[in-house]
Amino acid sequence: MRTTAGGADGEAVIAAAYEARYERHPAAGRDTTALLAEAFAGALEEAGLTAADVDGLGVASFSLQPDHAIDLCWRLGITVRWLMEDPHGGASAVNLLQHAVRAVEAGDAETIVLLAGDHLDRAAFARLVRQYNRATAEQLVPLGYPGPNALFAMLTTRYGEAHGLDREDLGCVPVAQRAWAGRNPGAVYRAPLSFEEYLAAPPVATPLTRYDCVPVVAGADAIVVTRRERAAGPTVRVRAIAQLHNDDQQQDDRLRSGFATLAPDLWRTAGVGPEDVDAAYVYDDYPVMAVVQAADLGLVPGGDLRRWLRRTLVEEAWPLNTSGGQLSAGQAGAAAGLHGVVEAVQQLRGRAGERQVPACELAVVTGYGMVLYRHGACHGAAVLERLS
Amino acid sequence: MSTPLRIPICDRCALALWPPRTLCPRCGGGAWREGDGSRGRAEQTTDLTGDGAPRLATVRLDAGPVVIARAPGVAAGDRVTLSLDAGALQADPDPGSHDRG
Ligand SMILES: [Zn+2]
Repeated sequence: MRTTAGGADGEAVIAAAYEARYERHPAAGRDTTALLAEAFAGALEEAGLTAADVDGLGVASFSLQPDHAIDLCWRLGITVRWLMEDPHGGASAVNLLQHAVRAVEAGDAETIVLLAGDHLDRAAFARLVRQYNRATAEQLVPLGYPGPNALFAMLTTRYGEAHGLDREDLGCVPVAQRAWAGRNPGAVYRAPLSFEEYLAAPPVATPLTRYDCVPVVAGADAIVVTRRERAAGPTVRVRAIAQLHNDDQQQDDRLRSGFATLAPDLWRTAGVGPEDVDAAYVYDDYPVMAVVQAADLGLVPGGDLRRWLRRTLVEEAWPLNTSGGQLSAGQAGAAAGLHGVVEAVQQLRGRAGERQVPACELAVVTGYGMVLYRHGACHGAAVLERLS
Repeated sequence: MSTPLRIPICDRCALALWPPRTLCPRCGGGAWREGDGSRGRAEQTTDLTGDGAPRLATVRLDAGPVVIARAPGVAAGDRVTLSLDAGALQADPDPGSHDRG
């Protein structure tokens, strides 16, 4: 193996994606490392490559500890010359992708597998929530804070009042995504969700109900980033990536998020506009965040949110979060960020089965998260394009 | 033992902050004095479910920062007084504020 940079000016592509099946209650032995290994093998097989081809590894996981990326290399039996670990949850995938693409273009690595996954049992999940960061442990836990639902409940109220959106408007996100989930055998919730059922659900943190909160699952996701000439079949090119972190010091009302600030650069670099994308994958930890991101990225024509929610998403089934999103497919810890990338790649490669979007050539995918005190501090977005 | 909220204020540029941080996000300064953070207005509230689950509020302090506090009996729009009680920030409605809605 060459250990210095070489073969620069390569074109980097995403050659394949894979999701290790999400489950609410995984069988014994399907632990975090086993899930990551399953995703690793699955993505390489999809790419027509083997573990021996891999010379770079990036991973995001809340439950890998005390292991790190190097321990995972050892357990997977791979030798690498590019190694990264990203602790930034829902923002980790776009961040890792940005670095991986540059590494392959520069010749620092030839074939990188990006992995994300978690199996958090009830106790581990509760620990993660309470010790998410110092701001949470020191400021929020003493309030009797059981997790981010309360913060996003208040953001939902604020955003709804500012834009004249009622519960049924915001419910369009989970209802529309559940319809997509019905065509995704990998989603944990697939039965149709009616507005009646949505509105009748008991509150979790007013005004949020169970259907506004993601089901915690065990699972893992993977993509393979490699030089174009190494990839077989349809591949995916990253046209642009933009990120913005800690842009508001947790003091803004977030009626416009960091995505509104990064969007002009993102689209300019990509050389396309939001009106050109065939599908979008926004980080749906809560319905309101899906709406905020879609609006801030310019995906809502004329800014008419109600029309977009009721007509575009529900009636016309416009391709937003076509896996069912985290709200229906599940949130597998730190895999939440990569989940959307994987679904975008499956759609762009024409591998999405019953839910395949016809002629899907261009998609936008976001990463969001790391609730610091009041809301997520990390924003990232990528524009992905199918290469034939 | 609850005490009225005191908040860090940047010595150099007078920016008021809560929670406390290391460096000032506006001027980069790292020296702080203390100021009054005990008055504000509740902007949103949420009721968590479950036995003894708290009501929380987003509160805009008169001094500037927007904070999250335990808020029993507080409604959105209420003027509130903020205090620290065993590390927990609490907002209580000012007398006469609540019936204004
Ligand atoms: Zn300052």
